[in-house]
Amino acid sequence: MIDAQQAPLLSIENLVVTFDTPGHGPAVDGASLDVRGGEVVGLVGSSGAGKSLTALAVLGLLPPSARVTQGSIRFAGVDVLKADQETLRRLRGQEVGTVFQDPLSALHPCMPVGAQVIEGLAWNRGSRLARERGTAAALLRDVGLPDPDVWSSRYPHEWSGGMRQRALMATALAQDPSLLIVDEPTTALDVTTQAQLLELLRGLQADRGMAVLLITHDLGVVAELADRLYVMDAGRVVESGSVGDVFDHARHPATRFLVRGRVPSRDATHRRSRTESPTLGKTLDVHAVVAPPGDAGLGVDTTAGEAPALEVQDLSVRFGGTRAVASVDLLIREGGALGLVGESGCGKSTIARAIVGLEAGATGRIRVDGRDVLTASPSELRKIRRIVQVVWQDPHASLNPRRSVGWAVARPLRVHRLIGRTKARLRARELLERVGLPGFYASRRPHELSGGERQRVAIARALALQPRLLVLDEPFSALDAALRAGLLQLLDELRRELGVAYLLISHDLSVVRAIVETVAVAYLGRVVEQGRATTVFSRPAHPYTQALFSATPVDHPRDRGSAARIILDGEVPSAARRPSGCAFRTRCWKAQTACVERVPDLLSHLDADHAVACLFPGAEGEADILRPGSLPHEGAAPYNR
Amino acid sequence: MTRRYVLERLVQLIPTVAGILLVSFILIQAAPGDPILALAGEHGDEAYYAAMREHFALDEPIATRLLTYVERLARGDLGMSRSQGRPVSVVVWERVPATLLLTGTALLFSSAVGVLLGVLTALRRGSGWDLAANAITLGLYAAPVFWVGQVALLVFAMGVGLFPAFGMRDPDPAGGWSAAALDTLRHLALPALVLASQQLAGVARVTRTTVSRELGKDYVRAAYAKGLPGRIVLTRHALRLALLPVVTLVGHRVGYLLGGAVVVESIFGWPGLGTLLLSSLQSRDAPVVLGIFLLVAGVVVLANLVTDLLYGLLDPRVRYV
Amino acid sequence: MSDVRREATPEHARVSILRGSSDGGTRSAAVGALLAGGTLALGISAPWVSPFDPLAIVGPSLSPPSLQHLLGTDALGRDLWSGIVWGARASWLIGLTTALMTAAIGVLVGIASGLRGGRTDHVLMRVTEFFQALPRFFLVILVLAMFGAGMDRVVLVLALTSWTGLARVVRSEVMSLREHDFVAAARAAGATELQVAVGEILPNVLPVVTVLFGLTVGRVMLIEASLSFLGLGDPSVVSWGALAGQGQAFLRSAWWLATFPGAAIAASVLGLNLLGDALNERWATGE
Repeated sequence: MIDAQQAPLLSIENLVVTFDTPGHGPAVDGASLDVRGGEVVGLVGSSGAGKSLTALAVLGLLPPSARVTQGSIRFAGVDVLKADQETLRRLRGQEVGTVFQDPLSALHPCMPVGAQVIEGLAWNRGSRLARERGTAAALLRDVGLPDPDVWSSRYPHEWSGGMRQRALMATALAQDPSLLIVDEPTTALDVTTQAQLLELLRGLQADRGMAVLLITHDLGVVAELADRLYVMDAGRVVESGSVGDVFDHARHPATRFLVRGRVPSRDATHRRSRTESPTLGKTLDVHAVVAPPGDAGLGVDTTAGEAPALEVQDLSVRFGGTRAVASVDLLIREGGALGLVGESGCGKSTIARAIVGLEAGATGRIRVDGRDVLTASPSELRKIRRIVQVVWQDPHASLNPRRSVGWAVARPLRVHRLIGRTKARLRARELLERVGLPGFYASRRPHELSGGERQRVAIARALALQPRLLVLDEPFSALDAALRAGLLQLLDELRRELGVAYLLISHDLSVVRAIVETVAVAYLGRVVEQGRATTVFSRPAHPYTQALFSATPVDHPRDRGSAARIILDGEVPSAARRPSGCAFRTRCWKAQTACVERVPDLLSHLDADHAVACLFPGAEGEADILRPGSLPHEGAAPYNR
Repeated sequence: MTRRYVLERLVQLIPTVAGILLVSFILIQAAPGDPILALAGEHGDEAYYAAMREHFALDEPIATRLLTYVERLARGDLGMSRSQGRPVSVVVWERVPATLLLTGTALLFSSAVGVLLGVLTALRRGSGWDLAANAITLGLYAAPVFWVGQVALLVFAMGVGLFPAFGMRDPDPAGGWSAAALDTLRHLALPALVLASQQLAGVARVTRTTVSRELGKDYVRAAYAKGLPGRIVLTRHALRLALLPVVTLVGHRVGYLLGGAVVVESIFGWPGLGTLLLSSLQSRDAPVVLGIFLLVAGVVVLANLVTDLLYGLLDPRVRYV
Repeated sequence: MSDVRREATPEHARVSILRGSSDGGTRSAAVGALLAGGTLALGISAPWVSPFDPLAIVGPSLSPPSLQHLLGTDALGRDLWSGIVWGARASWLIGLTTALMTAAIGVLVGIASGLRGGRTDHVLMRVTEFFQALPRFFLVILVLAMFGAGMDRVVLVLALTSWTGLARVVRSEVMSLREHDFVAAARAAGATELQVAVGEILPNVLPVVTVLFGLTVGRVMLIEASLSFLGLGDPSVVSWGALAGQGQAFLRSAWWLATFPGAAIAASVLGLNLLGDALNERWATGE
């Protein structure tokens, strides 16, 4: 329990950080916050709010162009801002451990990971080389890395993203600090890996009783872990309090923006209420009421036409010897919307590229509006590409930096020589206005626009040719949570107005839920479950789908631990080393010998509209399955600490 | 994997070496007029003409000529020098030590001092020292070698009289072994410094850029966050990556340095390959020019190979690709 | 193949060799434009600004700089200022011609290699590696030995051997651009390979090509000057290197003969480098 009277471990008062560049206000503008021993404090805000700078100031590691101009930082009685280099150095690592945002760039590329993990320890505590090897492995084992002896001598580029994040965690914990600063711990990770790491962090914090300062833009992470939270906006702390209070009574617009920007991912319709059976110590899941489709506040016209806008049959894509996509079937009716969900390596972007004829190694059949993509001649392909358009994942990369926005929007029209130069300019302005941007943006360069605006430009470009099918490849992944809601609304409007069909590809279930009628879940290049969104979301039948749904962070701290959480082991294997039989079996708690031998077919399950590729589908006996004794990370920590 | 990388790199040598042989062969064959005149000059020494015809198999069909050319090269037989009446290989080989001494000194000096200067300026960016070093390296990088040499001669040899202006050693052989070495060093200093100047400027500038770039990276911040002191972060972390481009820069500019050596040798009368090249050109002793070209090309290919292998050793990402 | 290695190859180092001037770039750009533009303007206006025929004997032998002869005269009594003005024309002409040919080859090879990838890339890279291994300076000398003196062959050999760095930089730029979604977007919108190369790729590689073009002009000027200095140039053309070479013999008696031509080269190259440096910085950061 936390003693509110106890002197804070870290106390930041009225901190002001400014950059040397003139003409800008302070990046951190009078921020104050406290962290007491053993508590988890969230520091939340959208990008550019000054969260990371505040944390770096604690370590005395601000970038050279930034300096603290006012305020004080005290850590365990030490005045950090007045401390000399040696004092600061002793603070870093030994007292304050730090996990940086991007695990790849925070690791030295030419040094074995194990050596990096124990480096600080070796320097400060002076252990001998022979012992260090074992130490590194032990530290890595503590953070749940399998085979640490093998991995500690390998280089960062051989590690996966989740493993690297664990390595950073091991490094930060090596010297047993009393405060752990964690900067955006899960941003770059897949949902199931994210769940693993949050679970790990929760466990480590509980075991060691250290304080944690959790920096994130994702309120879900805070809802899962934090005791208290501070919300930052434009360099100021605008709101603070216990997590429950802030979630329930958000006062500042920035907080409400963050709270509302989160599209509810698991609302009451598919949240399982949990009843504990005290004698058995098992969890029993009871399905709540199933809600009508498309209830996320964005009314969806479900009267999709009969003719298929997209028909994918037995699609496989090979890169050299490896199959990135294996016999995938998809169907979207005219004006309909299909969500394709999965984590990295599931082949979803490859499928998107194959549909517009950009994957040379694709086999099978793809029909867009009745025309076959894979057998099309170059001129036919050009025609097909007028019917199907793509909105790409990263709006920073999908617009040519050296071309104006108007040029980009009119480019499809010009490429097909449909329109003259002057007309193209007018049309570009119209299209920009259609997606809610002012027409004069046409003469701007992409770098003058924000991420959300750029994504709107990309949508305008995709609409230029009045396509029948729009492939949206992770359209929101590069955007702050708060911007998503507006863009979702735009997409929903456009669809109803223009009757264009959507293939929405995303790893984010909440986004998919909001606008599609049917959903397909992919794992390692195969569709493992497919059906009406309502059915799949409420009664996921494939173990992977269940794990995926369960991995999404909660919306509100009160839900913490309300559902039994499935934490999968390991990470998605590479397509080059696809396991035999069912590809998911290596991480599946239901796996049996049959799964090794047979690739399960996508068969209908309970309902004609719902298909699952699993030999043991459904929720039968879920109570046993959801808390398997063999899984190391299980369950959820109680909310009321 | 390492072995595969080395093997791959070695296989890549084959087309390069073959290309160099082919280019030099074609140049000999394509010379305007009678190739023998281009090869042996227009002095009318019939015996020498005959020997050259035989050496390059000029009376044979083209395929035989190529085979003979490659075969003789493989044996190290580069023909006879007319002006010296001795085998080209001997004539060229006896000049190698002088050039090796000159370029080797320049290479080591420019690399060591360049890196040092680069690191120091990167650590004191924006200071007076940095600005001064910046101006000097910028100037040295743009100045032609001969001009640096001429100015150095005017100031240090003729003006101050600190160093001898010409040659590799004083003519009178007084004193023992150590006196001779000291004398050579005195002669070496000025030409080596001049030859090193441009390379030094390049190395210093690249090092400054890469070091300051690496110091801003996340892994450096992470290293500080572990509680490591600054000098360890610099030497163990930042420099390891910062010096990678410097290694390639130095290794891939060996040919450039040897070209500079020709100019420097001519200015300072240094008795190396450069002066031999120029005198052979004047006396129309083409076999010697060819021999020097092939030797330099070989050295450049070797230097590139060593650089790439060294790079593979320093950067594990390369080996595992 | 190892793209990581390519990424860190010296061309990148060469691009950035001048980067990092601390004055933000505007001042160095101005100085660079003044130096390079000044000597270029001299070369262009040589017939009007040179007081004498650079090859005619117009004054006393070896007279030091004076009002009559701004930079003095040489051993034969020729005016050095006129020589330098006409030398600017020769140096710039050779530098620009060679660099233009270099840029054309380099851009073509780089875009083809980077955009096509696969076999095309493999073959082109082997060819590039071969040309990179050729010692330029010695090859020019060998050609001059076999074919006799002449500026045309110098330009040709230098152009044929100087494009490798540019090609590799363009290639790696194109390879990273190729992965950008805007290229996929253009393709998915129905653009042909040519439309992609010209409409999307080219505008993005032009900045780096411009910078490298400037640096190449400078480097070619230096090599040409060295060749002329050694007496391997065209004797009928007045060039800076040849002037400096002729001054070498009179280093003791007429310091001006060696000093001024070399300074003219250094100024031009410095100007080009500063200009390239500033442009590079602007394009790298400001975009």
